[in-house]
Parts: sequence; structure tokens; C-alpha cells
Amino acid sequence: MQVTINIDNPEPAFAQLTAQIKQGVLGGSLNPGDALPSIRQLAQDLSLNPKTVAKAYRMLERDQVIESKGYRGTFIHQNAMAGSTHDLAAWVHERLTKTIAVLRDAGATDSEIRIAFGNAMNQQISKGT
Amino acid sequence: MSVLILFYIVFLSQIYLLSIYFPGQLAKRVRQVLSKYPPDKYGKLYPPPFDYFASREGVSRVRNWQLLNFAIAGLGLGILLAAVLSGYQPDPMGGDEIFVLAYAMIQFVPLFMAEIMTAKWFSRMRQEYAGRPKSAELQPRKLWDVVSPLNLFLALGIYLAMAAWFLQQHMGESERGATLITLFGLGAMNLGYFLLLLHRVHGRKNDPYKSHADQLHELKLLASILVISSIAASTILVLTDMADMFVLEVFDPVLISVFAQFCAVFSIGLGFSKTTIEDIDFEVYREDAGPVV
Repeated sequence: MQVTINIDNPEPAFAQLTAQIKQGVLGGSLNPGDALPSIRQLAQDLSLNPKTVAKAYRMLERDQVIESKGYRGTFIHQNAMAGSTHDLAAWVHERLTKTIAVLRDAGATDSEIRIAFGNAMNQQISKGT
Repeated sequence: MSVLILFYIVFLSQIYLLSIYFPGQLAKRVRQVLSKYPPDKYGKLYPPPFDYFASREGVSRVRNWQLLNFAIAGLGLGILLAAVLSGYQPDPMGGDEIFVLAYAMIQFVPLFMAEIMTAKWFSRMRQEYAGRPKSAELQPRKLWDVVSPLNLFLALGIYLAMAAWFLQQHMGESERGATLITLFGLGAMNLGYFLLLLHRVHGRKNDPYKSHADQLHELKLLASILVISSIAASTILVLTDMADMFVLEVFDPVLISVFAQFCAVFSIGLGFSKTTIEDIDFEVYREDAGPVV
């Protein structure tokens, strides 16, 4: 299977990569146990920063689409099909949209929402969570 | 006398192979590509400033390059003629092989020039590629995909056998330094080959448009050439040393010439025979072609 990264696409490269790997799993091009290229190889082939590919792999690993087996490499996860249907980013976006609507209904301005969101995020980061 | 005739035949073969036959084959290939895959349809193959190559200037450059090879062939024939006319006799203690080696080096110069130009060409291709959508095969590339462990360990085994031979035969006070330099030199060459192969397997593609199948084919070919070259280098060292041991140094120039031809046949010749123009997927170079498939 091939992946294609278009730098003119407004979607970030790591998101294009994760989306295409998930599509590959759903479309049957990638099956559980299939080996994937190393981060370095894929970054070289796509002329991307290895950190970008590493980020995509981290996201896919979190969603149980791929699994890293140390020095043996990275493989498609046994639960990849279920993991590929679950789009955490879309879920986060949906939840935030609903929350913003609730806050606006309560009379909060966009500026207040942004500041509160920033503060909450910073608080979480400083707690190390 | 028979040694001399053998040397003349082998040297003539060297002149023909390295300065006429292989350069001719290469020039023919370039002309075929230029006529079958012109820049107006296969634009990605001709990144500026190399787009001139399809014009009359490019054709004349190929011709000049071939003329340079003919001139080197002429030089070789001149040397041969001078040897015949002067009644040259090979030194029974050897040493004349240095001239054969030096001439082979001169013969390889145009091929190195072509190699350097190809590297620049690929570099321009990669620059052009930077702004385009990029694609990659989701398959890991591993060393063992391009070279069998058996071949690799065979080359290593022959090097070690060669090293054992030299360490056993030439570790006397006066020879130790030269023996170690030879062994380290060949060891460094083999290590260089191995690192080059690793770099080509895991590193970026020279030609960014090349299809996955062509890339794999090229890597397998490179691996074969490096393995054969390594085995040949170890073998020729032992053979020349044996020739010295059995007071057959007079054959050294013949052996060196055979080695130079062997290297050419199993690098350029193998490349030509294993990869014909029809085998290469040129559709990836079309301007309207999508990302590499």
C-alpha cells in the first residue's frame, strides 16, 4: 500500500498519514500483523521530519491501529479494524463544539472562553497530566 | 613469447570492453531514452538545467563523451603498438602490472564522469520533487530483501580466507607492514561497500520518482555487484600473491587486466543485462503522472 503526503493540503502531514493508514486498514490493504516501515525510512521516503512520522505512529499506537514490537519493528495491531473506526480527534472536536455552545448559551464571550480554555490547559500541563 | 601473446590479447580485450563496447552501450541507451521518452511528455525525467539534454547540445555531449572514450582506446592501441615495435618483453619479476592498472584507471575516468553527472541529475530531480505530493510504500525495506545472507557471508568468508592466507604467508619482519596495510585496505573497502548498501537500503531514494519495484530491483543489482566485486578483489589478491610465490609474476599484468575487465563486466555489464530500458517504468516521469506507484 502507498501513502501520499500533499504539502499543499491544509491538513497536517501527520494527520494525512494517520488517516491513510486507517483507511488502508478499513479497506483491507493493511491487515493485522503486517509490518510497517520504520519511522526513519518513512520520513526519508516522504521527505518529512522524523518527528512528524513519530507523532503519526504515536497517535496510531494510542488508537490501537499499530503496535511497536521493539527492535522487531512496527506492525498493524490485532484490533486495528476497531481502532481505525474510532476517530479521537473528531470526538474531541465534537465534545468541544458542544461545550462551547453550552458556554455561549450561558452568556460567556468568545474571549472569556478562549482565556478559560487556555488557563485550564496550562493548569493541566503544569500538573503534568 | 606465449605470455606476451596472451598479454596482448587480454590487453586488446581490455581496450575494447572498457573504452569501446561498454561506453557504446551506454551512449546507445542514452540516445534510446532521449528518443523514446522526450521531455515534452516525460518532463519529470529532465529537471532543469538537464532539459537541454534532449536538444542538439545534449546529443553532441553524448557524442563528445564517446569520442573521449575512443581517444582513450587510441591511446591504449598506441601503447600496444609501441610495445610490439620496441620488442617489449614483460619483466619476469613482475611490476609491469602497474601500467595496466594505470591505463584501466584512465579508461574508467569517462565512466566516473558519467556517474558524477548522474548524481547531479538525481540531485536536481530531488530539488524539483520537493514541491510535489510525495508518496511512499508502506513496506519495511530490509537488508535481507536485497542481498541473501549466504552471499554476504560468502564475501566475508572469502575475505577472511584471504586475510588468513596473507597472515600465514607474509608476517615476516620485512613484510608485516605491507601485509597489514593490504588487509586493512581491503577490509575498509568491504566495510565501505556494506555501509553504502545499508545507506541505499535505508536512506532516501536517489531518483525520487522511481517506482518501488524498480527501486528494489536496483538495490538487488547493486548488492550483487558489491558482493561480486568484494569476492573478486579478495581472489585476485591471493592469485597475484600465488603467482609471485610460484615465480609466475610475469602473469601479473594479465591478471590485473582480467581483474579490471571482470569488474567492468560484473558492474556495468551486469547492470545492462539485468535492466533493459523496457524493464524500467518510465510512466512515473510523465508530467501528468500522479505520485509514485
